[in-house]
Amino acid sequence: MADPGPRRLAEVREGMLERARFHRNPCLYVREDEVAGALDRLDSLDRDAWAEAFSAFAPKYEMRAREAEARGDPRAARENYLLAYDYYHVARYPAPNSPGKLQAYRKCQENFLRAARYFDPPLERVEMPFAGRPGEGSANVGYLRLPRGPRGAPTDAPAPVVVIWGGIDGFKEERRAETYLALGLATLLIDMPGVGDAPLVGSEDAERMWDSIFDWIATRPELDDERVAVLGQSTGGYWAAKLAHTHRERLRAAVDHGGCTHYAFAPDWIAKAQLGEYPFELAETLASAFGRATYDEWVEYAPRLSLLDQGILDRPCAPLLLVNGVRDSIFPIADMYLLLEHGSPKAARFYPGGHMGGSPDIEPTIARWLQQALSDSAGCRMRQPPRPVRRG
Amino acid sequence: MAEAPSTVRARPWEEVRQLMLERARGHRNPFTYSRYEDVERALNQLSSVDRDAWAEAFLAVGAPYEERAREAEARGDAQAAQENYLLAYDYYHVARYPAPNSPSKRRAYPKSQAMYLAAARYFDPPLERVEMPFRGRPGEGSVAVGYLRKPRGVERPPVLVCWGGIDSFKEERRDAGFLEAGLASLTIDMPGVADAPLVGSEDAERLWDAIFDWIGTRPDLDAERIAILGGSTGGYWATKVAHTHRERIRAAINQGGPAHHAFTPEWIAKAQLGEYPFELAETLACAFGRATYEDWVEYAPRLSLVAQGVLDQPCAPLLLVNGLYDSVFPIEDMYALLEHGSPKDARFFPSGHMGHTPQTRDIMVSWLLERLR
Repeated sequence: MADPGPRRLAEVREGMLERARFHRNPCLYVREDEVAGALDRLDSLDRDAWAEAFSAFAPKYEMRAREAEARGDPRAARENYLLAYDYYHVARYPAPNSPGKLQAYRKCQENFLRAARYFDPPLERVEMPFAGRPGEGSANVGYLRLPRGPRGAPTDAPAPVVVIWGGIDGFKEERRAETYLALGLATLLIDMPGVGDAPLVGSEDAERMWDSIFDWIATRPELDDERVAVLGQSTGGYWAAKLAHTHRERLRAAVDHGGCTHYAFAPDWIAKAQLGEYPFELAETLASAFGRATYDEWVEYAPRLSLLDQGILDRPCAPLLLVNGVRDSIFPIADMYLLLEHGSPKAARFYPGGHMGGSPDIEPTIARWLQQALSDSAGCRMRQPPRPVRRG
Repeated sequence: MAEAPSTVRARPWEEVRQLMLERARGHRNPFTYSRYEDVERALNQLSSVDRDAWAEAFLAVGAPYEERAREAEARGDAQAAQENYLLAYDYYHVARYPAPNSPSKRRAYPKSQAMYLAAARYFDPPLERVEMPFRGRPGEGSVAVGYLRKPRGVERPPVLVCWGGIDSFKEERRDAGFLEAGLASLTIDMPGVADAPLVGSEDAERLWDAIFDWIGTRPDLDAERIAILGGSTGGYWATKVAHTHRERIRAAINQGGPAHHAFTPEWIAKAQLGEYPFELAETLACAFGRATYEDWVEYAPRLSLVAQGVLDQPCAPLLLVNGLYDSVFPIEDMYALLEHGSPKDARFFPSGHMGHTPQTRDIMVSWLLERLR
């Protein structure tokens, strides 16, 4: 099916303003009036022009953040660094696929890490060695946060850890960790293959990347490498579902939140989704996470990613929770139903909304499910001989 | 006899006959042990689904096997006795199928039970018929009847309470796979069928208080490790009990049950001519104290677990199993369960009602074992 053509600027503008109003991806902190101002300066979706228009709003906040830092006002410093971060983040949105957007992404990271100096519990930027193929990078970059113990003290026991990543446009800087930290889970935020700082592009075997993540976790005494879970969001859900099968021995649990599996890779779905709820160039952005660039390249390549056709789904898998909105127009809910028709039974919770489900109930539901799956008793259930019978 | 309204075509007798023969050939419900030739002979004597004629035809087929079983018993041939009792049981069971809703069918049901219990004297591990006190309302019975079997070599085993639906009772539960896995099996009747002390209603989950209390009185069973498995219409109760009695169970399986869409008039009309070979609406009505197609259409919406608000309560670990092409209860009812309350586990198969495939039972057993350890 033919490329339905680029999205009109007016349509993108409307979508972005609505997202700015409700602070939805990618507009986490940016102000609606300033988003409108940036969009007014554009007459196309030219990538560098877009990056420049949004980057222009950031220096003001960078300046304010430094001033606040100088006068010892951590709250204002954090708030302004986060604003600067978010303008650069929208500037690089959806993906750093032009020189201007790439430059914005670096500045977005710098400001995120400056803001993170004020996070509680703190955030540590870590580099995890990756033994890749020629031409691939040699490290994964992650952001690690450890949960506070009772009364805010550091925990003495190794913490269970949730490795979290997003999709084609939401990177490790955009992941939310607080709900998991509050339940006593460490969070390690990373980039899925093909985006952010990932050392390799997406491909039919890019799940190799997680070997290095899990190996690294085992080197950290503060983390319990026997209690590792993964949470992949949006396109990242694809990798969570795959890992639950390919790396099930290393995982206690996996969550596929809004991912694609099989039907999303068909040409007719790709054409339909190009004009669905995603506000930007969906096919081109997906292509870019898999080392491709154009709509036609995505249509040509995507079918090779089908987990059904790869034969993955009929293998046993780690406990896997599926979450999505039944009206998702980015990836079809049929991809979630398909996962329930193969291999091990899986847990699922679907919501009446669109992509990702769009309900405030989702994050707590995922967090509680992960907490249960990572609890000691769940571990006994899965890995060790049966416990002695409880006498009631 | 209450018939479907003229807007819903009644299934022609020849079609029923063909469906039943097909089931007899594959030993599918209701034909567990029945022989194809015997079934064919009985069906050839019939020209409608008239309830008493149906019952009498199959009662007649069963009688000689009952005779042979008694003779085998008298001469001490245990194997032949068991085999013939099971055949007699099964013909009497087909005679009362789908439900004891006419004088002859009501006569056939206790005879099928007597034959089943006679055969069960030869079961290994043995079967114990138990009576569980039920504190009902005026007009309700005072006990739930169950068949208990315990796995060999397991001290104080976990218990799986199993029940079927509108046409398949505690005598029809097949528990060998569960016993081999180390689970005790307690097979019972869901409300409104067979020996249940109350009919189905919006609050008939009261029945399970009696079941769980009784398990707690048995020192040879582990009341801390109870799971439930409801098949077909019984899956409805498994889902509900997973919510209303979640503190008393470790796990629940709903295999092929209805939840919401199945109770709408449109679905009821469509399902009346689906894969269910008999009078579906009338048989469902009968399990809820009603009789006719219209009774069912009128009453069914009150059973919706969505409308009752049950699904937004937290629930015990619950596995949903069904076939994608189920024409008795829609797969959308399973999807609806995934859109409310706690996350639930699910496995759907490319088949019809109940999701029967060679791997279905094994998947359920593994899932249960993980949760009962």
